[in-house]
Amino acid sequence: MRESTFVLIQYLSGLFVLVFGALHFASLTFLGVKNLNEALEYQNVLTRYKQIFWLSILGILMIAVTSHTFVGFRSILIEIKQGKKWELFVTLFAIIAGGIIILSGFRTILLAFLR
Amino acid sequence: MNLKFRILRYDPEEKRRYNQEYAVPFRKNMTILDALLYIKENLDHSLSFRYACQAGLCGSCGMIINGKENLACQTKIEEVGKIIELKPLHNFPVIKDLVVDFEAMFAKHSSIRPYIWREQEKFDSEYLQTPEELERFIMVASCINCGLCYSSCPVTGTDKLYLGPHALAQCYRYIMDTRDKDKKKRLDIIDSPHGIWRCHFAGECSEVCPKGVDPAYSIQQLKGFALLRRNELKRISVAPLKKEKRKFE
Repeated sequence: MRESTFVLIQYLSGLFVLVFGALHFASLTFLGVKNLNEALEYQNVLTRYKQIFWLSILGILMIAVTSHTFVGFRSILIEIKQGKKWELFVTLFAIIAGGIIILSGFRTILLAFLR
Repeated sequence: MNLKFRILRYDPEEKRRYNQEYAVPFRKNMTILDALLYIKENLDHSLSFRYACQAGLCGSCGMIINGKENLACQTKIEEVGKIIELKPLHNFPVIKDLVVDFEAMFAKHSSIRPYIWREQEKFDSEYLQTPEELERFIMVASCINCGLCYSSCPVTGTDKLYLGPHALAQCYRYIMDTRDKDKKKRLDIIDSPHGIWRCHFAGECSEVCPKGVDPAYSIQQLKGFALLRRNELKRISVAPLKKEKRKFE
């Protein structure tokens, strides 16, 4: 994969985090949640997962945050140490670890939706 | 009036770094290189430094002068003060005193293929280029390979494989040259883990260049080409255009 592809993922995911992160916080207001304690109440959290629109926002936000984190982490690690093997290891680590987190996040979203 | 020179020296036999001070009599319009030549001739024959043209054209006498990369032949004593600290360039292995090894920088320069690529050479006539086409890269073509940008780059200091501002600016020079044909291949070389994307845009490379080359700008342009404007390269690869379509003065 070209390096610019990683950079494009990094830039786009950053943009998505901004937009969908804002929507995520806005969702609390739209759903009538008044304070932080109320936002974290089990029923309130579950309510958000029951609506496809908010659920999609949370799903996209989760993918964006994870991609942004691991692509950025990969860049930092490549700058700290150099070498072909290291680059391959770091890239595979970023893809696999990111993939596991995304799958695990989807599992949580799905479980909450079906509950 | 005497000037105080503090020079960071390196003895390769004993692998020892130490500071040595010299008192040099001031002369009007004296440059750092003049002072170094005075030290070499009158005070210490063992002091090593590199120089050639004494006119800011060869790029041999680059060094750290009071904390900033500069050419010794182009820096006047009046500009830097009475106490002058000289050090060898950063990010290069030191051979002796102020002489550094440029091998890594030139190897990176070679890796971007710093020459015009064409599948077939044209032997019957010259490659024509309009002044406007020349204007696109003439700024970068002024590079004298002095290594000041390479020394000032913070990324080059940490990432040994990073191509560096010198090689990347030269790559931009050939990409913007209408006579060059294989721009995509060139872009593939720099769109790599230690290519353009490692540049953090500190901008020091452009700040220290004695010839007004702007490597930081060139690298940002290359990032644009690599990320979104690969197709734009086709537009640049126009040489040789049919003569009737281009106006030559």
